[in-house]
Amino acid sequence: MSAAVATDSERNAWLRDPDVQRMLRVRDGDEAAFGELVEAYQDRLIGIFSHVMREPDAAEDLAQEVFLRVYRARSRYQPTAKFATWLFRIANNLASNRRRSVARRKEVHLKTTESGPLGPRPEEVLATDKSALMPGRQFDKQEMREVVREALESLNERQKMAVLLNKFEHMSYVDIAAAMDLSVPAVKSLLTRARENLRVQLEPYL
Amino acid sequence: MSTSDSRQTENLVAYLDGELNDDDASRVEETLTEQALIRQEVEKLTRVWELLDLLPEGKASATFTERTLFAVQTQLGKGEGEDADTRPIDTMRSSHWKRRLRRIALRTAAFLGLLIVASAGFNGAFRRDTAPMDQLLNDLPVIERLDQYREVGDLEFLKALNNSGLLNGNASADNSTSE
Repeated sequence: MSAAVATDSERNAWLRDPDVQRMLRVRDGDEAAFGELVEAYQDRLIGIFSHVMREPDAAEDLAQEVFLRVYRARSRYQPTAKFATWLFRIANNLASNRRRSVARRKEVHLKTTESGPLGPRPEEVLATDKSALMPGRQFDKQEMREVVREALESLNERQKMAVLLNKFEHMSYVDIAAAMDLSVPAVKSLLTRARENLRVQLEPYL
Repeated sequence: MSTSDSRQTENLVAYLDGELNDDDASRVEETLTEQALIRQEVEKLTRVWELLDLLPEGKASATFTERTLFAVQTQLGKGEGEDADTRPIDTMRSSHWKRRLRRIALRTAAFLGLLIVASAGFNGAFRRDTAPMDQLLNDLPVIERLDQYREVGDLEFLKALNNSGLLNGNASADNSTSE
């Protein structure tokens, strides 16, 4: 897709996006349309943020900030992509900024598998005990969910975001590229590495 | 993993994601028909992808919509500042390129600056160093015989010794000539 010039068919495709239509109504002052967008996307945004950020409590704050930014931008809104692509672009930038500011504050958030300076925490000891039972053991759904969550955590931030957009938002490589400010080949490569990493992590549990 | 393996995996993943064109998809399907190992690989990738369905779905709290709409209402009275990341995608793309170009220009300028400073420093140092080197080269004949000169100690004594004719056979001739 050309970076600066959208073809007529692309514009028409975007205009057929019902959420683009809602956003155009928001631009024209329809407050109810904005409420519809919030309801349509709130769970999806919170889902993405809760997986991408390592601060589960921050997910709602960030999702709200995305909606506020969308609302503040309403008068300037031009449909140049699907609404979801634009929305997740904002979400991706916000998540990146948040991670940077957290890093600047040097807030070290330990993963459940990382020990602090005082040695392993009690929940880690329990987890280790549990994992000692691993080979050949049947995992219940909750345990398996935890294994999958940790496998996802093992991905870097960009891989994680690309996986989430692809898997749960069913976004095409072109849309992921637009949302993450990457080229399509970069997205293809990113998703391949992510899926390879996940396969390595999860293959023992298949 | 080799480049060809990596490309093959990329194509398998893109195939699973429905991102290949018809020709590439046909080629992947032929490979899948012929090679059991690749079929196993695809099966593993598929099953791992399906495991992600176990991840908990996002769910907003009961008051989220209400709180968000309330926050929006409180924004109404405030100015509508522009957030950089809410610009249209195309604009963001071109600004992305502008940012990249600016970064490249800055890096080039920094590199050139560094080059100038380095070459100036090198030249300065080299020039400072060559002057003593030239002096040393000029003085080399003296330096080579420095020990002998030190043993003699006095230039006047050397002149007298030279005139005395002890150092060569011309002393008497010289004396007679001078006489």
